[in-house]
Amino acid sequence: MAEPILEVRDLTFSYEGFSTPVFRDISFSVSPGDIFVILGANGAGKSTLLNCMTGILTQYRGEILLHGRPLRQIPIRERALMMGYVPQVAVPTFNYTVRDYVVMGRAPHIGLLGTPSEEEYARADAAIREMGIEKLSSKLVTRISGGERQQVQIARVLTQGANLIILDEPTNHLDFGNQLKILDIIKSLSEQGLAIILTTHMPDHAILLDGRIGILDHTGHMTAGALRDVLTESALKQLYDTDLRLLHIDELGRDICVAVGRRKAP
Amino acid sequence: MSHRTKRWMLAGFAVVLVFVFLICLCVGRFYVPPLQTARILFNCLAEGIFHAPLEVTWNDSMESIILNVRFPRLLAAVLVGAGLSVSGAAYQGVFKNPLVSPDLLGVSAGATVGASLAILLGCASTLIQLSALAGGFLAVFITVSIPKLFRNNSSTMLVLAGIIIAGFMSSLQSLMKYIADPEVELSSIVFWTMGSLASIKMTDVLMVAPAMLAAFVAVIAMRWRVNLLSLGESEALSLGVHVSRVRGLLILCSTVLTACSVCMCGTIGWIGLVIPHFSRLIIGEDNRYMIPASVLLGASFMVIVDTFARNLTGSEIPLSIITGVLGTPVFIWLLKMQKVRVQ
Repeated sequence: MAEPILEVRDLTFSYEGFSTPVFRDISFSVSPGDIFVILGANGAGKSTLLNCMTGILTQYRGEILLHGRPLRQIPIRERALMMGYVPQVAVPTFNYTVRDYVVMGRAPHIGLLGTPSEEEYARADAAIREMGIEKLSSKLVTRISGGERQQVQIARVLTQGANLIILDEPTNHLDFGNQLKILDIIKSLSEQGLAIILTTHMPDHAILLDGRIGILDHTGHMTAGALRDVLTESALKQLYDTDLRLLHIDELGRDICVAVGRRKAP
Repeated sequence: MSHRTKRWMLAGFAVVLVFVFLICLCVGRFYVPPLQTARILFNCLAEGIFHAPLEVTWNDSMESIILNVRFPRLLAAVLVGAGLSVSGAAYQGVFKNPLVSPDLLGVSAGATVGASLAILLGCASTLIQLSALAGGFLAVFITVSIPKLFRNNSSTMLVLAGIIIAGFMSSLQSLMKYIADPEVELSSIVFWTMGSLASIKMTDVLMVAPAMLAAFVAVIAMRWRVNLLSLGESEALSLGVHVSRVRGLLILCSTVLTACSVCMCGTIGWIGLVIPHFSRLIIGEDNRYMIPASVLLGASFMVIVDTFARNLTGSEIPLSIITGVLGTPVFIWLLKMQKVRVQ
């Protein structure tokens, strides 16, 4: 197995002034080509976990190692060269063109007083081509759809040149077609050798991505492992506190997760 | 609009500034023809640098009015207009909010308190300026210290601290107005808070110009970083931006620019809000072009406003009155153009 890019060891985090930790003793690692999907109920601490990994929260116990080095000791700019982050789709406050927005991914390669050169723009254009969104290039980021904006954000993280990409609920607020499109993109990025960590509310997305899973439960424990070991009917029932079935569809050759729905009164 | 077009537009704004500056030098109760004005200015250069003075086609009073009265005054107007506009532009990017002005962290309120205190103590004008400068810096220093006290690094906390300090400072200001002698001190405090360049001298300009120029250069050099900060703290951080450091540098520069402006001419409202929006409407929201555009358009606007201030009536009109009267309709028009997104 290849050398892990990110290693999380016994990670425990509690907010200042709170005695109960949000989560405790979380351990997992991702290597090149891995997809690690984090499932968790609302408020289970998924965002807090991502914020620890991206370096926004630093008051954690345990260790986060990026390429074998403790995350806290890596300077911000160097960290950005190794790890890219795609936030949830939101409308930006200011209006930049897609091309000017994507080129911001080159920031860790440009000095404090610098502005992007033609060469940096060439890399941005390459990422825009890779996403197949050339038509959007000169449009304003506030004037494109949510699905398009997510592709633009992924193009931006690609220009950053990091080999680990963390995505926060990348399929949120997208229509059905766009959700699958984003999953396809994530899959192909991992096939190119990038390591991917993402959070989602959709068990089906975890099944489609066919990577490794971490289920963060209400007590702050995470069960991490291979898809078929971790993503079981009973685990999902408990996680979402609802009646559901994990059914195998022969035609597709995979499982799907469906809610049982409200039963008629007898 | 391509980057190339935007660069040409900036060059155009620079030409507009030079043109407006020269026209306003000529205008006044004592009219000096443009050609003479240009010759007087050019003569300074020719005499000072090349030791080859031009043939004198003007009289002494023309030279004195242009060089000793109008030139320093318009130079101050350029610095103040550009300084307040660029501070507003930088703050709007840093705080991710298109509706903030350079007074956000309490710099103007602090400077006003400093100036009022010096007026109450009967200080000379230089001391009033220095006291204003100190008051402005002190207010921002307290503001940026409050989030550190709570170990909370968010910009919301900083904005809240700014509101608190500005509120405190304005109460101190009211106290000083209350105890001031209404005949002399109160009127000069009130006049000071409305802004004027009437008594500006070249020495006043030279006192603050170096610090302001350094701050201009720094903000313009960091203008692409303002784009990155405008994405929000966590996103900027993930792009490798040392958010607290860059934000701190920009706040320092904006404070220098605003405090120096206020110490030269008192407080002037609206310009720091209206000019960045106007620039955005014309050249787009990319700070790489918007910030230089704010410098140039803010300077031109202030030069025009000051020319109105000294020529509209027999006596000087305070600058804030004119910027407010001109600025608010412009802002309504900007809202109508839907370039200011209010949700």
